Amino acid sequence: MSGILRRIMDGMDIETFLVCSSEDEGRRLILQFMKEIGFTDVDIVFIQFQGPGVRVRARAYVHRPGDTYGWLKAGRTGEDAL
Amino acid sequence: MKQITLGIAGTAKNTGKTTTTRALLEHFQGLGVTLGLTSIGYDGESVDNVTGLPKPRLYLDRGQLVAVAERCLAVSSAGVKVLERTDLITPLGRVVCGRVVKEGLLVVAGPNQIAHLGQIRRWMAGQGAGLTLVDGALNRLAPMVETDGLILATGASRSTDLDRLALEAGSLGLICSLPGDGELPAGLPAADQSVVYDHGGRVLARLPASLFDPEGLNSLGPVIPGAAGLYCPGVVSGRCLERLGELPFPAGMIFSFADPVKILLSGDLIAARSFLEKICRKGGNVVCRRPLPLLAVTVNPFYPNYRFGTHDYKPAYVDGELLLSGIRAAVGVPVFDLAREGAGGLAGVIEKLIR
Amino acid sequence: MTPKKVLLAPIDPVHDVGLKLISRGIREAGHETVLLQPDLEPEEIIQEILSHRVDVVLLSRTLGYGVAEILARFVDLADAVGVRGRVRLGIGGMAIRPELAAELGFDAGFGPGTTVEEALAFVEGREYLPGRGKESKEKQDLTRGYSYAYRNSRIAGLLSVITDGILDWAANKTSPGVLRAQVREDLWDVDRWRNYEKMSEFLAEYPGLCGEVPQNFYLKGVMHPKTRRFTREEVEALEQYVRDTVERMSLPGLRHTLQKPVVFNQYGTGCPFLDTGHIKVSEAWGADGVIHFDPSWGARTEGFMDGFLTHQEDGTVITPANLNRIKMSLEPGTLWQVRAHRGLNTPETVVLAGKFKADLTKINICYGALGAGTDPARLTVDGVAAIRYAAKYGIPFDVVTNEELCGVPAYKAFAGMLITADLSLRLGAKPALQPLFCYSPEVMLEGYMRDNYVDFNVAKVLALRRIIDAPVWPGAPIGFMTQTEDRVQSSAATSYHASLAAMLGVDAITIASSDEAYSGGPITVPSKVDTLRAVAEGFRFFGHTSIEPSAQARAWSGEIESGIEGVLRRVADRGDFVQALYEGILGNLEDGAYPGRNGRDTVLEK
Repeated sequence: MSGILRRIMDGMDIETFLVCSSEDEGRRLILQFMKEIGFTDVDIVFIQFQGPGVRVRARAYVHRPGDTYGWLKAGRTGEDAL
Repeated sequence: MKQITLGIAGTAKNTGKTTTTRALLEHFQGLGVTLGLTSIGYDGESVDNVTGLPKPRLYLDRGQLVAVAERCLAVSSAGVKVLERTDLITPLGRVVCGRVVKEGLLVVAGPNQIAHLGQIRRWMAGQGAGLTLVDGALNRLAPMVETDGLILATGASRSTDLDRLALEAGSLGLICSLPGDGELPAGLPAADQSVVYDHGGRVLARLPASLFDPEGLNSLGPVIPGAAGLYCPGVVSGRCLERLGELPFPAGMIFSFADPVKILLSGDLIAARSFLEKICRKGGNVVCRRPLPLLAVTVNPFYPNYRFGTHDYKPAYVDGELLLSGIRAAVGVPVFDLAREGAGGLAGVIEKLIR
Repeated sequence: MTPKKVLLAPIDPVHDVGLKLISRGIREAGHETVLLQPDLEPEEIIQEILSHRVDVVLLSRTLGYGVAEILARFVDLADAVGVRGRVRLGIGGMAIRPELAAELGFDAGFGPGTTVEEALAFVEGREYLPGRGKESKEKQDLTRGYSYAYRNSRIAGLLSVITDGILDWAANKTSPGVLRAQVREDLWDVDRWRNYEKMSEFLAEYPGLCGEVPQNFYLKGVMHPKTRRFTREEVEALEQYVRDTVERMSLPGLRHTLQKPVVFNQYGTGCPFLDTGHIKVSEAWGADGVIHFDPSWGARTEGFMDGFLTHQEDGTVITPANLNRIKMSLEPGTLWQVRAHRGLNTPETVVLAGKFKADLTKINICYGALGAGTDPARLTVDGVAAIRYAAKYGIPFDVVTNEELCGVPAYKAFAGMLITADLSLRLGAKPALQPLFCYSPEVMLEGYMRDNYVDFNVAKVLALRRIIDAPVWPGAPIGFMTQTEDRVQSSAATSYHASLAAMLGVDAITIASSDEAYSGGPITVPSKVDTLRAVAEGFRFFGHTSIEPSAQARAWSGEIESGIEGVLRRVADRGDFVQALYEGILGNLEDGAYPGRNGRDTVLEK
């Protein structure tokens, strides 16, 4: 995992407005996008289709409860530039 | 072996001060010289405070002496045994003096005033430091008056106009070459005023300690014919230097300043140089009561190129050869490009001083 | 403290409001100030310093290209002219940090958000310690100042009869839960445990009183399938993380000018380490207290295990090690609630809460029996014991009416709440009333919130206050069922409910995160920041604005009050509280309440 991504305590949300023609399409597009940028543990927290497209919040879980937390080690000696 | 304190000063940020400091540290630690290290600014962090670009860090062996603000110790990997907690307070906490007991990287922020640096310098000498390095900050100079000599770091970060850089470096070199043994007539020196005096040492006119406003010099008119010398204990502005150069003082007039830094702080090296040349032509003398010799110059062709589009900085370089040769031609002291040549030459200059 | 002469100089082309505010603050503290015009050259400022004989100089400047060199030159000049020794130099501005101030040669640097107090400390020569803006937060006692006197004497009389009945009924009864609580209380010492001493007498008695899963843990070392242990390295890393975080924590208050309510949020990701992360963030964003949310299987299990157990589903397992870990990560001023309000471990939970010095617990016999699946008889026996322990340890608790969420009407749920509360008072404990601010089934069916969410919630608080002088702490969390997954909507819903609560002068509130309605995964920490920010903003907006209850709210509060009385009369007439629970007097099948089955037939004669 990239050094900086380690520091995300649990989840990272991407919140945007996607132009599309239905909620289904919006859903499909954002999930595909999240995969494209490298996230596998993803979910859609919120999606609402209105007018030109969807207001959507997609979530990538970086650390789930019980995982080994990258942020417990990061930060002390500035390693995360590596 | 003599104990000396060197100031590594820059003409601007990113001129290579810390690179120079680091090179000297590496060389002299390798020779087994006990070093002292402090800074009048803040250095050693991995990213520059202002531009966000990477910066070098300082590595210290065991046994070296340091004077740093307390908060630096917490973020350094070197282990320091604190020998004395001073009463000098900085934005990063109290300055503590100590010895490195575990080698590692050190972030250095230290005393930021003349008087405070003087205190640290004396502590270092008392602890047996053969060579004490004072890392500079930005273009700050004032505290360096407490050192035995300057290494100037200049480069494209100050200006990408190489001719201007050379002229400036040359002017600085000239000013720093002023003799530091200026004597004044007995009973004269007072820190709170400038004076014009005659051959008998009598005060003819008094002025403020620092000369900022050239208008103030107009009052000297009547006393000029009988003047033998002027002493200014404070700083003198570029415009005042110009005016002093124009006034019809008699030949042989002596202009005394406290030290070269006071003249350098005029902010106008060209005017200062021109003043020196004028006085010289008129048969006069410019002296200082305390010297600050320029020992060497290091050059750095790097500069942070500010990108307006993205509002950040990107590394850029001028022609290193041209820069080096231009500065060499302008100053009378050795000039080095450490990145190209290594530290050997510069270290050699310093070694001669220590022995 | 001799008055100082302070020179303030904006080196900026535009006058700095910040500097003006600081200037006024310094003047009001008795010092003399000289405010220069902006955009002066360093030499001009030096000359002002010389002519005014100042003690302190405060420059303000926004950083830009070449500005650092100008400021450095100013410092040089000050040093060279000889004033540096007697004049303190401070620099303030948007991008100023201590490191930059040190590089420039100033005595202190003031970043954005610098208060007048900080600048004043600098002016007066008190040592400047950068980066530690920690105001100490003190824990508030929610029950202080309340007499618990009844204002409705008929209700008081009915409650007294019911409480007598409960105590008589429970006097000769015990249960595995009570027995385990006694063993935990008498044979398990928290200090010895922290010292890693083996609790042999405890281990001889305890497992025998547990259910299968904890028994397997103690006797065979078998873990619950959904849990795992932490490694030594992880534990050390967490301890270091907490130390580092605590050092740079500052604790803002949420309440602006208000004294109440105290704001709680919940933690319970399943993992005590991640919980610690969430708790530190919540504290840093102003939460006054945090509530332990434990998984529902814990309520169905007889007994507790031990060790750092992380669990991948909602709720963090209660074990001594998990509680200890969380306790040690809390700021001294943060309130901590460990809930005991449902399930087979209620009295033992209170004992653990007491031993780990939790500030609050949660107990409600009626909700646990009707809405959380625990057998009414069992929970009554356990509840009495739990209340006794809470009284012994001096831990206040709230009595929450979560059965409203099943569909039980508020007046019935409140009747149950008051029964638990009265019982608590009789046993010397300190209850707080926790009505729900929610969009409950009752509200949906009756249309109580067709127009607004205000009137019915106001009615609830008014009704309770007309009955008894006791702390009121709406939960759980407030705004329940009004939030959606929309982050802004969710945060706004919480914020408005919080502001309403503040206007009503309640003592505390429990708030949700903006993830409240999201069920696809664990609640993330940014969503907790969302609602803390939103709540703070609501408090800022309304300040001490008050609300005048509408006629409708008053009418409903009267109906609730008489409804409560009616239910209590029926319970009293029935003469048997436990049977009243089974028979649905406090919430029936039609309401959506079901007498629980966990722990059925486990009540024992002493």
